[in-house]
Amino acid sequence: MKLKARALAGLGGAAASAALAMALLLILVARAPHQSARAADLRTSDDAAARLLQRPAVAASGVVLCQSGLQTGAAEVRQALQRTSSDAGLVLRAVEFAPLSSDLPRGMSGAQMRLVVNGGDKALAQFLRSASQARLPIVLDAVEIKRLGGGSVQAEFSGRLLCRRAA
Amino acid sequence: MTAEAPTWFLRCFEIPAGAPWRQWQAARIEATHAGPLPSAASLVSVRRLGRWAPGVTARFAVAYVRRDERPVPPIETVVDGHSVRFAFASAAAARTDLRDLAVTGLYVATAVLCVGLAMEKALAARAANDLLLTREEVRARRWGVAEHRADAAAKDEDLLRRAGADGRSFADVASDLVWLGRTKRPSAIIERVRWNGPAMRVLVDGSAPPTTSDERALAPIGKIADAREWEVKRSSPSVVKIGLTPPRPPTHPARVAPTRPHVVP
Repeated sequence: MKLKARALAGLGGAAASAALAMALLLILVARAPHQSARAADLRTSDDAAARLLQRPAVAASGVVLCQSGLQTGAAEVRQALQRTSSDAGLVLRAVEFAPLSSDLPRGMSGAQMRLVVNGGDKALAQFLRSASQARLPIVLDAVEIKRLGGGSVQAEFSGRLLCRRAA
Repeated sequence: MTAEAPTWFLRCFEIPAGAPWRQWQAARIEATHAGPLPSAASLVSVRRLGRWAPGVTARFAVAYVRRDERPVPPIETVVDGHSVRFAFASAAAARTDLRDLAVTGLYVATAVLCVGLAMEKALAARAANDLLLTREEVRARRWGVAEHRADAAAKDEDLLRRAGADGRSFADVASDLVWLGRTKRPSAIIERVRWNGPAMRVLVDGSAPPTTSDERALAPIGKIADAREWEVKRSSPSVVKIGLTPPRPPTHPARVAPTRPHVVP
């Protein structure tokens, strides 16, 4: 009888231990305060992400603003035009940048650009395709393509290099 | 029937001053090793005579009975004027005590094991939650970057639109030229193409229009020597839809469930 009583007491003790262990589990895991705070932050972030996904797509004009400043932007565009025209098989006659005469919206800076290339009409088409894909920060204000004879054309592009002005 | 009184031996000895447990330890050793009977053949009961006091020599009394005279009832006697009761634990009682001790130990070990396992599980779950939270935080930071980029792109588009960029990209010129090449009248000789403003102007030898297509409005605007210049309405500007691409979740070594952590707020 004494042993049975002790066994029952032991079982009770074991059950109490298990309950204590579960309580510890809850304290350590489910109620960990720093994890709850982090999870709350994530929920806020998820809400923001859901709002972003519902935002309509922006129709881009095929032109981007250069982000690196006017001088660097001009150098990059010059380099890109030289490479693109050379790859297409065109002769680059001129690529020039000059101060912009007209005003630009606030937050932008810009420079006047003039580009002249010579070559075959197929090479010109290839050049235009590559320049389109490069999405250069150039807005074309005037373009003239004229026949030179012998299957050759000359294209002259006048436009503006547009950059985001640092705040 | 009455139980016969056992044969027993009594001995007294002194233990030098010391801590009480030290004195008890010394008394047990003295009682066991200096007894009149071999320790395997006797049961021993040691009692302190008088109270413990610091710096005072203690007196102990020890009673011995033979093991073969079990069960041994307690013996009460007077030693040095103190009434002393000697009790002898039988082997059966000692076995019961040992068994009780073992059972208690087993329960204590089980309890410790339960707590240990629960702690291990809890800590492992917390570590897994931490890992998962870290992963989700990385994803959230990427969302932040994507949002920043989307905002910047929308602002840029607004600026470009205000600067009159619509329909004035290399893509727009290329698109017009592709259309012209596709719809050109086979016999037409195009001398010059100009874009300046909303229309494309095409200078063609002869008086026939440059294209056979009626997709775009076409009108003669002037004559230069034998050539005629035509104004062609431009197509709608080339646009690219730029939306937000959800960032990819970071790749981590497995061990984390691909769900949000179950954290009670």
